[in-house]
Amino acid sequence: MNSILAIAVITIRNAIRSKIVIVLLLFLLLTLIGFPLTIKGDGTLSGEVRLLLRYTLGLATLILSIATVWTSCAAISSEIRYRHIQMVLSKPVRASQIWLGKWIGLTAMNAILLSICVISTYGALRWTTQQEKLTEEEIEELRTEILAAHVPVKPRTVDLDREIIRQYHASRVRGDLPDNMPSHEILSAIERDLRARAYSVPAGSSNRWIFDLPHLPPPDRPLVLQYRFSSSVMDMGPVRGVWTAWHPESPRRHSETVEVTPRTLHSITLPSDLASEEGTLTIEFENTSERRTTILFNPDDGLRLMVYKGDFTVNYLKASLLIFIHLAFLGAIGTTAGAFFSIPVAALTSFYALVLLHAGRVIGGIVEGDMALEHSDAGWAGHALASATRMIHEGLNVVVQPVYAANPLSIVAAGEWIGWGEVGYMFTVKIVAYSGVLMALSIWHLSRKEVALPS
Amino acid sequence: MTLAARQFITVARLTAVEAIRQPLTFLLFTTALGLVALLPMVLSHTLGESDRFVRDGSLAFMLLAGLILGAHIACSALSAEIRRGTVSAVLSKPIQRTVFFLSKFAGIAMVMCLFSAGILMAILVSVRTAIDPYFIDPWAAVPLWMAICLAFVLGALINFLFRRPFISNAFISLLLLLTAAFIFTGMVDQEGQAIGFGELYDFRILHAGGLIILAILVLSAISVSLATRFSTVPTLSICGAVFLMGLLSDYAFGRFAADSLFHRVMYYIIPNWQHFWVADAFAVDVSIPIAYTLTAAAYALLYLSGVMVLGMTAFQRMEVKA
Amino acid sequence: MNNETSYGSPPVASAHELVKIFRDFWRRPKVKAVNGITFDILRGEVFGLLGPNGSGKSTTIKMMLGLLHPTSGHLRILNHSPRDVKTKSRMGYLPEESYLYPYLSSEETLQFFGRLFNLGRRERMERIDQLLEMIGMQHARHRVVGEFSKGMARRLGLAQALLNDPDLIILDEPTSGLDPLGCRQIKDLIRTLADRGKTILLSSHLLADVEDVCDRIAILYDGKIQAMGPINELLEQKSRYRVTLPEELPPDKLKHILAEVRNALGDEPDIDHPRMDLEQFFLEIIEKARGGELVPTGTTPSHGIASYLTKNAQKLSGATLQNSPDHPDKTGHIDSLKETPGSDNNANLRERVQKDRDDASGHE
Repeated sequence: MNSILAIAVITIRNAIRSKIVIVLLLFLLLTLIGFPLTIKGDGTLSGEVRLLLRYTLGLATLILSIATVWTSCAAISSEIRYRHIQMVLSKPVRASQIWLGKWIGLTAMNAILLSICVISTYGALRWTTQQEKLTEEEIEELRTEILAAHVPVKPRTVDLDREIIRQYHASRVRGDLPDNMPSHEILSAIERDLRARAYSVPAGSSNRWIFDLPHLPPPDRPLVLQYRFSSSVMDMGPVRGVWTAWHPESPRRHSETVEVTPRTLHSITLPSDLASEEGTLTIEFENTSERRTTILFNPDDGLRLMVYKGDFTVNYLKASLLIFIHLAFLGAIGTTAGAFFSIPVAALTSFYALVLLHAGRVIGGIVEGDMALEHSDAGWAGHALASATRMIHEGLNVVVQPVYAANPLSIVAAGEWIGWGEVGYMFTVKIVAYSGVLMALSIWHLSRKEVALPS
Repeated sequence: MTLAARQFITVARLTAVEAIRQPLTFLLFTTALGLVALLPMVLSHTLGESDRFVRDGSLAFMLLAGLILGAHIACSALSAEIRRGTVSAVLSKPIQRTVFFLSKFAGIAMVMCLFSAGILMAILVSVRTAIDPYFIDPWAAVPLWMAICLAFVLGALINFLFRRPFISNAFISLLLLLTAAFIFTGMVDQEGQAIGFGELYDFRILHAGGLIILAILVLSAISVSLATRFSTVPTLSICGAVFLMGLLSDYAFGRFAADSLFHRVMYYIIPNWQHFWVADAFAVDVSIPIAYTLTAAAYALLYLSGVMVLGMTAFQRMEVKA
Repeated sequence: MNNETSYGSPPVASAHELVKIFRDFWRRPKVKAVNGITFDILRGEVFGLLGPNGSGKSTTIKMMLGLLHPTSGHLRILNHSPRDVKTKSRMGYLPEESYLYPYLSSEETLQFFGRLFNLGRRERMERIDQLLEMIGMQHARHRVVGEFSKGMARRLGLAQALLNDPDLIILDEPTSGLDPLGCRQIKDLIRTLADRGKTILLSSHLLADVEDVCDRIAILYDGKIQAMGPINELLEQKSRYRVTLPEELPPDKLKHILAEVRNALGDEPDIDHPRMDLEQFFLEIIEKARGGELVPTGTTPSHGIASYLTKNAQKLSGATLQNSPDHPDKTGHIDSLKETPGSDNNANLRERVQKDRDDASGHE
């Protein structure tokens, strides 16, 4: 333990004295102060908050991530290159202690730098949202939407399987199925069609969705319905409609007429006591556009009912913890790469690893077959390539998917709640499991490596 | 030949050789090539637009990899050599600092041009791979992948048989193999039938690529000039910052340049990469006027000369540690 | 000097048919750096590895430290494998160049290595104080290593090698980069430690250093041991003799003796005046120039040997004294150091220089 701490302290000291920390701090301050000054938001309060959280703090953490990867790659590899490691390994020190010491040192440094960023952003946020400067409306928006953590609820999905099969058989009976199309593709085409129908509202008609709230919000915390749609007319002109919300056992209804543009996020607030005791709420949209515009809510996130769950500050803290866990994980990747390779090569290797991690969603998509690689009639070469890529992707997916997560800052900026379970899960996966495996790899390599080979 | 010219050529060649012996050079080169070759496979589902995506994406990879490579080579050619004392050993010989500095840059520029030439050939082949939607042209894709894979094999073979360094030989093999793949693919169509050379290549890419090479050279010059005074990490950081600011130049500074002195100064100082990015013009099938290219080239040359003069001054006054 | 047969204990380090081949990427042999060497290093001796550059000295040392792995052969250090972490707490190592962290101060450097040895805080602080005093760098306690001259870095390197009061001390080119005063100090220190029962392995290509301090040497060339044995035996020319006459001999007496010799030999003997060696001469000049203050550049007067090293030595000193009957002068000199730790250092040094001169002329 003593050795690990000693190495950690040396790592921090070296980083401070070699001025890396100063340069980094300068860059961070430049970002935290300069970015909001240079880039102007869209003028709205929520835009300002998003700018602070997603872009300013986002850029700061990006800089911190790059610096973490670089310094962690240098941690062991420069030790080998400048032969300090010969002095260390001729003392009673194990490879595991070197790795852990370096990693703990880097992580402690990250903790301090990230805290600076997080605290100053929080300060800036509080300053921006000082009550005296705001209108009544903005204060309410702040309280109910921006500086609060919600659980997003999607509409209840109807069981489509039966309907899909029914339509499939009906078409087959009619004989209007294409001959050369495999049946699973027809089924999925029908499914896509039905799903789209469930989220579309043609002009002059209406569509309704049922939401199951996981819990009832406190009386002073209204429900917020966030929606985003695309329209069949491509001119981005506004669409008029009426939202109505109720639950069947109550005569109370809440209606609101809106005129909104496609492709942007809108929201309406609903009284918190509108839902039933069990937490069901029906919401209907009637498309009253004069033009014949059909609108389609994005099936993934086009309709979300935000139910108040907790305080913003705690949520922000959890997001910061998630970022910290990620930085620690990056440190583990870099330290490991640095144990194997010299600095630039290690940095490139870590970069590959990061690209893979961030491509998590794309990889997932490819594996699920959304991106149809096998459609290409490329002859034998194309087929061989396609199946090779598929195999690689499937392998990668197993590794990458557990650590893939959306950017916690976007989540907080969107007012979504982050659970402690999520924080615990990421800690377990990224720190305990993945970093543990990386450490084991490094130890295995370092304890076999001849560190005094003539260069 | 005068002494100075001979010294110039010697140092430039040595710098280039040192640069292509570095693992990172080869790795970045193969990474960029791999991405360029991979793009058509990933994008083959984008209806009819895949050749455009491949072209834009590949050119972006070329720019990014070129910038990183240029900055890295500049650091290792100058700041690392200053730290190691190699520079003081060379400067103790009768060589002028100006000649030394310029030849260092010439060496780096040489490598960057080799790198860019290789990537551009790969882009031409790769874009051809994706001309037809939902179809990967094996007569283009296979030679390209073969060139990349065979370069590793050749490098390894040369290392095994002749005990010559792997990295530099693999780099040179890769360049030669790419050229071979480029010529071969240029002479056949998708069915493998002979055609006139390059009929299926989109040679406008060379035009865009040429401008990107200029951008890469400008950033390399900035790196070399910075490397006279700073060590690797600050040089790379500043280059990164300059690159990012240059990308945002129009948005962050250009918009306010008329009203604010600060924004105006920044707008003029920071190189504006948008000038070197013409790939968007292809999308709407606009041909790029020669005048534009010449203006962009003049901008690059002026900027480059300015930066080099600053770098040279810094280098002249630098005290080289033993 | 010490004779190996006088030790009954097992060797501190033993190598048997040790081979180290450096290989290329394809695992083909590239260089055979060490080619089947066999040696034992015994407790309490100063063993010298002597050889030109590239003869395999450093490779051998690095194998002993577990930094390189032998290709074949057998190597035991303190009866364990050299890669065993525990044995390293009983070893001290000074590498051939300074591999210290450039951004740390002297004290921080020693603190760091002390922690790696898991020394308690108080013990660490005590030892660091004593060591910094011993190497004469108290004043540079808070200066960072990056600013040090090579000699200062070397001294600090030596201090860290002694921090754990090691049983086996491995010194790779200990005097390289040091001025003559520093060399002298290190050589004295080596003798002191050895006489106190420490085992020292020293590698050097500076022949004078090796001759001054080693009990036994092995001469390496081309990865092989070309000669090995006690240094006196190796250097003694049994067929030649040297006669030393008392100082200030009256000229007529000398003339008489020479006549006798000439008669007996029937030939003219070679006669000249004995010379002191350059090192002694240099030390005297510097001493005079500084008005008796004999201090190496960049350092302050050192104060003998760190007392924790001596404390340990007291336990062993009886055995050591018995075991080195042909070194009464040096042992005596160390005793005087122990009795006067510190204050009288310059007198000690002067005395030492004088003694060495007597010693040298006594041999001649």
